Amino acid sequence: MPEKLKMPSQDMHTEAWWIRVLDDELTPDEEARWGAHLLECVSCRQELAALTRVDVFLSQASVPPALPADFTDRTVQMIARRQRWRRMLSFLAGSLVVAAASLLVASVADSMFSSFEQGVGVMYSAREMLFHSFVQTMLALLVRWRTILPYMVGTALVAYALVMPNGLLMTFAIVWLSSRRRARGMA
Amino acid sequence: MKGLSVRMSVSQDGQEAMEADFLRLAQKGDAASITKLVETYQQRVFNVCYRMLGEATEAEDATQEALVKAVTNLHSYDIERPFKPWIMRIASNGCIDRIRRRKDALSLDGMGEDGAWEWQAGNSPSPEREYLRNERQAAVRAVLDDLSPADRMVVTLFYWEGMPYTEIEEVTGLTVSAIKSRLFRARRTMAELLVQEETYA
Repeated sequence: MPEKLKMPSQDMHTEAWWIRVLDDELTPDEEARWGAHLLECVSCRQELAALTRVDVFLSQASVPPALPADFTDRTVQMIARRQRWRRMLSFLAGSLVVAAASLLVASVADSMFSSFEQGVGVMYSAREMLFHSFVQTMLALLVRWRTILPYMVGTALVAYALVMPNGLLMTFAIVWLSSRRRARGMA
Repeated sequence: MKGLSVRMSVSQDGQEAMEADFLRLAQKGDAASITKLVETYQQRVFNVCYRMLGEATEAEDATQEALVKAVTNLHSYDIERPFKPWIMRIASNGCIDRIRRRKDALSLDGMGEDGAWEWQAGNSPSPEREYLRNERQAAVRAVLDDLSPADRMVVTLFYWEGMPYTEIEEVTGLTVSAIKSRLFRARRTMAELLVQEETYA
């Protein structure tokens, strides 16, 4: 046997070596050394045969069956349902955020202004600014998510109805603030 | 040969560009593109799920779940990256979860009760051959069942999907060296199981 084909066989019993063998990554020189080693090492010969058998065994597995003909339709319908549900959720979440933000603004206004009339006055004067912000937000959302246009328009309209000074939420906020004032005054 | 490879590369590029186009449209919610996306990937995703779960009915559910999840989360998909590893990752993770969930309940005795391994549309030449095929599938399934879900995924993607290590890396999130190591250990485990089975037989 040529001298250079003799090498410590421990190297060839490592996982790294075996991975290179199985991936056909050995250089011609290493191939020669490996061949020589196989002639001498029974356990490596057995292991190589066993690993080769695994490849053959797995290749015998049958081809997976075809999907049913209506699978695409069912899946697309499910996707549409899920998307509708998501839009509804985002619509509800958006409305909740708007409502929470409005209550927060009302509370801050209540603590910031010394008189109730002054607070309400400031809220009224912010009407135009709020309207512009909503229109701009709506336009931005419209450009970004064209596909959920009706929901965005709906959210904006509901938010407008809730937050504007003559809207439901604002009416509620004003009534709530005035009742708090009254209670504080009585105390 | 060179001409052929150039043609193939041009055609592949064209296909990728076309795919990117309908993915972009699907991201915007275009119904026709979503349908095309589902049609393009459903069988490939099903093949992986079937190999991992070994049951046609459950694999079908897992495939549907993966496709729905992928389409409803398309906004988070980077259009510059290949789509196949992305959807395969969703599908594989779903299958791993299912395997973990059923691990305790699953037993080899129940295998094939719903016709999972037996069901092969229009492909049953004779009862003897059918029996032998089922036996072989049961043996493959038994060997795969002994692997961890992650190892099973690596074996599935490598052997049956023919994915290169780099693509498996994208699907699994493991490094190439970790994939090689897992694959080798899985091969060793399977080799030992085959030897045991032969001895037992």
